Amino acid sequence: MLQQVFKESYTRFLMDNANVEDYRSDVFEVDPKNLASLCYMAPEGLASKLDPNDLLGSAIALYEAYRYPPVVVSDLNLWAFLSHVAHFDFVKKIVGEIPNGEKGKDFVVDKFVFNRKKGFMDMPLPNLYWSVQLTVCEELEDPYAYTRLLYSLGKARRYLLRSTVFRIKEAMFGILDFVNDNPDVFRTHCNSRVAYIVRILNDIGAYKKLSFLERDFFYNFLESRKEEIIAITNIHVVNGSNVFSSNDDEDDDGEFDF
Amino acid sequence: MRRNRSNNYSGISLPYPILSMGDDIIPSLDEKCIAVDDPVIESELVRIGVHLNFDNEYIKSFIEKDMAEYCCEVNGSSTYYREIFRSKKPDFVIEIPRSAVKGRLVFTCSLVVTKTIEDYANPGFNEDYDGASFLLECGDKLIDFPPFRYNMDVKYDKLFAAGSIMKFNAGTDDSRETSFNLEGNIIYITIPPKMYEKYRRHIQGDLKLASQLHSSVVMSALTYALLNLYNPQYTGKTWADALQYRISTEPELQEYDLSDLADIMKLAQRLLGDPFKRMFDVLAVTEDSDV
Repeated sequence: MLQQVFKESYTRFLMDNANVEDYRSDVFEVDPKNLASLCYMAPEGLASKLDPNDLLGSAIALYEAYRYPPVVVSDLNLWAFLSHVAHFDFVKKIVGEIPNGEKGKDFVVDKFVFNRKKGFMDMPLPNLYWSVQLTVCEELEDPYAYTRLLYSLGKARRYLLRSTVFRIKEAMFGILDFVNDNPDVFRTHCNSRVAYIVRILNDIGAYKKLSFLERDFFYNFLESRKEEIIAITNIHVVNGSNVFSSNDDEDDDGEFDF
Repeated sequence: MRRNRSNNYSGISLPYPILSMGDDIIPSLDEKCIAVDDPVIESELVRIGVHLNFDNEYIKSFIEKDMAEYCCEVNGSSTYYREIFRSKKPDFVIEIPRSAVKGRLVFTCSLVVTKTIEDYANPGFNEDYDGASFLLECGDKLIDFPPFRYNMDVKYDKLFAAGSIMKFNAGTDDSRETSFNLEGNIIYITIPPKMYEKYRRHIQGDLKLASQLHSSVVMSALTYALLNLYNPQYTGKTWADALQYRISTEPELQEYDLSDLADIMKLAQRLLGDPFKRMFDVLAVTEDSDV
């Protein structure tokens, strides 16, 4: 069966007119006239591999299932369809309780449809998918070794996934190699320390062409600043509004809060 | 291609002077420091020729000593694409996989240190740096060229067609007014459902009615878009990039002042190919109309 997606007009309709009550049902009803098909086959048996208690495993399963070109997996109509139809139950379990009223409407648009200002990283499905896409390394015996390191950071991985520096492959390797070799650094105050790492790399990006550099540079740079990173125990010390939001609690080092 | 006219380092203090369009190093880069060929889009690849030039013999000496290299970083945020292309020559071709990118791409070119420079003391330093020298390491920028951008979704060969950046769609059952939505990559003209049905059945695709559509609801939508053309909220939208491209590349469109509403109305008419004239021509009883 060909992979289905929402028609753009329907996704746009949901952005402005989502009905919160529709999301409290077990199934999200969609009129077939609002669907289109891609020229790729839809994966089979994926639903059984998605477990809200195993986000790492689910992320890998999503990535392996949707091996479409980047221009396809960046289509918001695809993720809107998958979030509403193919994997509605899974997304609902991840996001938990849906608020009432206007907050509820904003919530369902953020998590199921697409928020133009917040983008994909606020939606569970594409977030999980891209967390693997950005860290997979096919040359390794375990291509997901870096993905596992990313998920070892728990909720703090959000700072890396939302940063532009993490899209530089060599930077990703260097940062996560540093995480791997310094587990004690991230055992506490993980949120604030990872946010701080993003900040100091952004700072040097003003005069250094980060994408020009190899992973050793990023690893050695973080090594040289390790004491400074360890000294970070409060996320409010990390300046720069692009790094963290005011809702972040540095003491809450738990799982990703969608 | 759209090029920013200056490098903005507002709020950031750099540890050493970088040759750019600012005055940290004099003479600074000029407007012709970067030239870009029209992209060649093939089925598998996008090819873009880039040509860089600058006037600073001190910096050029590092290129000759193989201590500095040109590079161009391509950022496509729509697909999380971020790659760098390196060249020892100032003229090079970037090849990007067609399936890896969509929407707006931003290109930032630099000249970057490849081997440590112990005492970087450019004779062109602004007098504020008089006597200073700097240790530069691999990856440090010597030159920051002004960025340029290209939108993969803009149909550059079809920009004269209003339909390339606008579409009609139906509103909800209780909508009474026509509204214009700029949030997406296409400008949506949202009309009440019954009106949309009439449009779809009797108007869409009818060339005889195009001038009346253009001189009415399309003109309103385009005027609204032009009023918001440089609103940061719509940065990177395909419709905005398409309109900005037309305005920047068609000399006859550059005489209009986008801060003047009267000029915006005139500009909208030019962009739509004089819709009022076309409408009167159609409505006129006689065949000859000399407006």
